Amino acid sequence: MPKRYGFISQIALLFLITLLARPAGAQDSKTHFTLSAQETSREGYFVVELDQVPQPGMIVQQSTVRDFSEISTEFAWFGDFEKMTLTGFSDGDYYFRLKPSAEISSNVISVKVKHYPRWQAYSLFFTGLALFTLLVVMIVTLHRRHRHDSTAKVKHD
Amino acid sequence: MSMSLTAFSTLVVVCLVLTACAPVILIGLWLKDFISKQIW
Amino acid sequence: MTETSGFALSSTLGLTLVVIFGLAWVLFGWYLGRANKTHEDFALAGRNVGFALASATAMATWVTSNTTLVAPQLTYQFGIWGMVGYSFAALGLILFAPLAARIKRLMPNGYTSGDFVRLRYGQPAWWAFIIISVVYAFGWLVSLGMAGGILLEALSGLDYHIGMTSILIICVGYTLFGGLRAVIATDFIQALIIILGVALIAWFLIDTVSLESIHTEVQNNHPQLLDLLFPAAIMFLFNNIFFGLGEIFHSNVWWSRALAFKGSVAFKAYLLGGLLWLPIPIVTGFIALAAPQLGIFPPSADMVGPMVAAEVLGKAGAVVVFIVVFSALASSLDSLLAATSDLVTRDIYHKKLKPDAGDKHLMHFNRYSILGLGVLTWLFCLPQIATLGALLNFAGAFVASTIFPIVLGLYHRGLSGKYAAAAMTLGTLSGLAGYFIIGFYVAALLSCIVSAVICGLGLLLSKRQFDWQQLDEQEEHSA
Repeated sequence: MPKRYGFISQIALLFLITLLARPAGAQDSKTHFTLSAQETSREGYFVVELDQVPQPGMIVQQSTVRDFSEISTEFAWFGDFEKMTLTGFSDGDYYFRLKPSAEISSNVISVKVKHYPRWQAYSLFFTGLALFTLLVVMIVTLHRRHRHDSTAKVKHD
Repeated sequence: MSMSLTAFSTLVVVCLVLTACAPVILIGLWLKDFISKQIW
Repeated sequence: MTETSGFALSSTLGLTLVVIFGLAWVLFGWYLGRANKTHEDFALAGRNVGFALASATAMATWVTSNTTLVAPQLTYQFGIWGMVGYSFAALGLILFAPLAARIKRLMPNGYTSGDFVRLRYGQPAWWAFIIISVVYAFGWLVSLGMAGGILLEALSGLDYHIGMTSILIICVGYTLFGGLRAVIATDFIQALIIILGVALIAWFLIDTVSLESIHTEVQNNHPQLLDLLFPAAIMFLFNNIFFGLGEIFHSNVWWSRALAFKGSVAFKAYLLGGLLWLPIPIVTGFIALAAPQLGIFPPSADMVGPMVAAEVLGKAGAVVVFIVVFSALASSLDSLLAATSDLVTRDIYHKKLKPDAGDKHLMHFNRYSILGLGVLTWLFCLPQIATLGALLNFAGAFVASTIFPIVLGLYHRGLSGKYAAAAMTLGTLSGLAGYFIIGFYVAALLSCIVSAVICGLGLLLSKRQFDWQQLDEQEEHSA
């Protein structure tokens, strides 16, 4: 199946890091984190990246407005990875930051989710469907028509 | 168009049951082949 | 071995698991290999494989490590359509069922898919085909070898080179001793391990985090994943299906099995194998939807499956994941070794270099080529270049171009070698162009469309009719 290339990294990262996530050392003074992410996503998933090792207990805030006057959701930064993949977003603008605290501050990033236009999705889908139907019909009819052909002059076994 | 809970649960549970049946089918077929000496 | 603290398993336990599995499989291969008297026995298991083993091997070989790892990734990215779309890859096995029956009838004495293309279409098409086959098989072989090493290292801290080497030695070992018989018999056991493992993980997950709460969480915070009209997912669907079809229709992995199965078994076995495979990506995929609820947001999407498994089952989960992935890896690696070495022995050595080679000689050469392929794979795996895996990213463009030439070649007298060669070459080239100019999601689709159009033209324009008898090549061996 497709995407075989990806699984090298999958397994590696999995056990190396996840199972063994170690808490990062505590910091004394206030740390500023720089978040970054791609500006737009066509598929509704994207990776948010930190510029340094995260601290335990960091909270990510998500909002649909830049000033975070209304917070859509909050979740803990996972493990001690510097990246996290967020998924399942519908069309729209999304803003992220780390929840400000005495120890932590961060910039605000925005990601625009704009899914592929329906016409593009459907045209590829129906092109594929047409070709696939052709293939299936072809295999079925040809197979029925030639069910009793044989080249064997002598039965093998 | 969002998938409902019923549809989602049904899909997953049916697939899990089908998957769990697979070893039974395979071992059953193997026994059948074994008894009738048709394994190879 | 030194104990490495902090890893999911100690390196001693990791190595012990590998040694136990390895010894068991190599001994098993040796035991089965005693029955191999001729090259035909070795390469095609005596052409007499029964229904149970045949179905299991079709299923297990198609469960690559990807089914257990990429299915959750696609589900995490594309939601419901990710897993349902992935499970459509079963169509490859199901649609190959009639072809397998046809192959068995047309070529009762054939050995490889290369045999078919050479006899049916002649030299130019054979070259195009063999290049596609070798690029695909070798890319897959190397990526499996590397994955083996990385799995062991990641799990137990065992050095990459030791892990990669031992997995290759194990698979080469039992394939070398037992030939296709050993590959098929181990596939049966590996199939059982894989199915039980994934079912276990899914069952624990449903038990721990209910389906209802998974659904609620996803609906509230990740609504796109439940969207049945998810544009990207709909767009990629058929491209992936054609990729899968191309992989199965052209590859000698599947042809040699069709030829090895007992007469009437080929059709039933592929059909059942496909049906048994169908639900597996959904069982391995849906666990990714539990990730947000468990607070898991993986650094890269391809890690989500094992992360959820490990979270739910703890260290036991790590062992289960290890055994399942290791089995999936081995069941594909051994099949590829066997099928590719058959291709080298039969198509290149016997037909091109040494046409008068006797049966014993070929059997020896087949063993040497398994060993040679193993060593070559090992050499390529040594530097652990991840970019090699990326080669497979556009393999879809290559393999999808073979779909129509193979199907028409098997059933229609009208398609000539010239057009088949053009279909495979131009199909591959347009697929690659599409990949670089438009995006990965059109590579296989475009390749298949162009190849289909050329095949259609070929049927309209060619006047010669192929004589099926030419496919039944009789061997004149002096054993």
